[in-house]
Amino acid sequence: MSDREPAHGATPAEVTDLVTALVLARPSGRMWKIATGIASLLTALLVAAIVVLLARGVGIWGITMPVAWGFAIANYVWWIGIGMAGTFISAALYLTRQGWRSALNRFAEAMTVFALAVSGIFPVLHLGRPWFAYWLAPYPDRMGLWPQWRSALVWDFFAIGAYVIVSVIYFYVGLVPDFAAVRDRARSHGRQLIYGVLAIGWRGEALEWERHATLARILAGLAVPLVFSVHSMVALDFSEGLLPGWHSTIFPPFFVAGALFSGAAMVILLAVLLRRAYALHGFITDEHLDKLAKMMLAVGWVVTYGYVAEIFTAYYGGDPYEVAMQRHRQQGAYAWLFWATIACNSLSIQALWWSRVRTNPAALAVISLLVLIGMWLERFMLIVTSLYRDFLPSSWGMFYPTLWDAAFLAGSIGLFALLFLLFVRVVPVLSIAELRRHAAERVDNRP
Amino acid sequence: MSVYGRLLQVRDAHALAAAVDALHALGYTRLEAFSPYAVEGLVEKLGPPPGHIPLAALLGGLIGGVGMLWLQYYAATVDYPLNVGGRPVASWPAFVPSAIEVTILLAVLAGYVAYLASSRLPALYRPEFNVEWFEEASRDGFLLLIRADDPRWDSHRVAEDVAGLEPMRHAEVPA
Repeated sequence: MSDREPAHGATPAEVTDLVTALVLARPSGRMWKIATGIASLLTALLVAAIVVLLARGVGIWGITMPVAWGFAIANYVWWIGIGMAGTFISAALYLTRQGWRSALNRFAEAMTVFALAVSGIFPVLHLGRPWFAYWLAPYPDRMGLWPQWRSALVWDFFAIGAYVIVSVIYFYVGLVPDFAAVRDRARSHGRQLIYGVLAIGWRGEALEWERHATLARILAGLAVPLVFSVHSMVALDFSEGLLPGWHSTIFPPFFVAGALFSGAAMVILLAVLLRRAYALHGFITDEHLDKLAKMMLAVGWVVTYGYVAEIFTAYYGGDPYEVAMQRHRQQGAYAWLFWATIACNSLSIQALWWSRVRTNPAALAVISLLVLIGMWLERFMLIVTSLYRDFLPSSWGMFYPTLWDAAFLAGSIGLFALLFLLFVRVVPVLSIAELRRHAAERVDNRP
Repeated sequence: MSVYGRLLQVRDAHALAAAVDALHALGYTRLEAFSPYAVEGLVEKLGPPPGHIPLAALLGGLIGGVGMLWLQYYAATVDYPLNVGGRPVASWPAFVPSAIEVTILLAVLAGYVAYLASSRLPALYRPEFNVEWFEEASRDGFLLLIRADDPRWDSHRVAEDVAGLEPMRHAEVPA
């Protein structure tokens, strides 16, 4: 396998010792404790908010007629989109033999699993009566009813369900040889037991490796169409509706691009933070940041094309409601949302044309944060600007978020951060098995 | 004390392949090689891997896709037909999205189960773990096991044959 990879200089033994030590010795400074403390508080806020929501109903949010979708759907679309980059880096870059992904895929996959976990909370709570969420599943119930197969919400149920299960399996399959490496280095009985169980008896036998590679190829080949279909389904939640601004064929590819865009931003942010926290500059090199930034710039242009296409289609099609929607979006009460989105998603990334910016961690962190904010604003803008001006002026109305809306958004960020902070302490953050193989190829191919 | 086999450690991937060849030449057939990463060419020497994982994934996907299409067709046309303005009840294009997702889901699940079954995972106890330096296999060690169920197995002869390969170290694996 001729992987084009920014080389790391470590031998297989050094890779193993270094990455397993991150789990076993757990070097953690004050920053980890402070961050975990804040994330825990926010998570507690989310839990409290969910309890209040279950007790009092979705009325605690700012949603009402005509804007019946608010923060919850924006949060859901935002988080599930962030998850896409993990699958893309793991699966699509694996199939195209981009060896440099080996330093990124582990924490990117973890990011996907956690973003999905956070994302899934929102559509369920948004149902209004979340305890009936299982009615979405087809099962021979005594009511004699079936799900509405033609509804995008039911497609979404299958899409998210499949995506969650496949992402967890994909994440875990890659982890098994690494758990074995941790198991073999662990000295305390408790850790030997826990990592021994997680490693499910992995030995590194030749045929085990062969089957593992076969499964990895199959999973990657299936994960790529899955992730594209999932974000298309999310887009169909919108475009299956007849609202101006939603009912558009650009939506599925537009949402796939937006998902990869926000996900790339989150991967860059986590990469910058991780390599600073654990001094992983030898593995997550400037070249990695450079490639990720190029990816973000390229896909950012696809997203910008989506914005342009939406406006062009509205005016070229000439439908008065579409044109009015575009006018309201750009000049109405929520125009600041639209222009902030453009500033964050289309303008800020233009700095990435310069290679000095692409290899500057601080600049990348700022741009990634802007993109993440911009993508949340975009999701919110798409929802609210299509809803607040209904076909009849008599049913126009504004959306005002409540404190509970803010609590759910902040709490979801806290939960994601908490999951990730725990992950870096107990799971190898780099793929030991893959980095070992790259190290060995270099050693074995010595003249 | 029953014996599971004899484990030896060699210096690198090339030596591992050479040791496999040498033991094959001596007539041994029940060999297992352990390494920190997949060593190219080793699988061919140790016998063809069973190719059931792709087949299982294919079957799982077919069952998922066809099954989901059938379920939706059955629910929408036989069990609970609903006349909405005379639109066709078997509106198959609307059935495709769910079918695609379930196709991929069942393909992945079937492939994963086939992988676990063919690698006999999970199995938390392995006799190899009794040898203290077996943990080298997950770092930078290249290990070879001659199983005691080998037709040529004879404790003393195996120990001699293995010593003749001049490994870094070797030891008997208790069952």
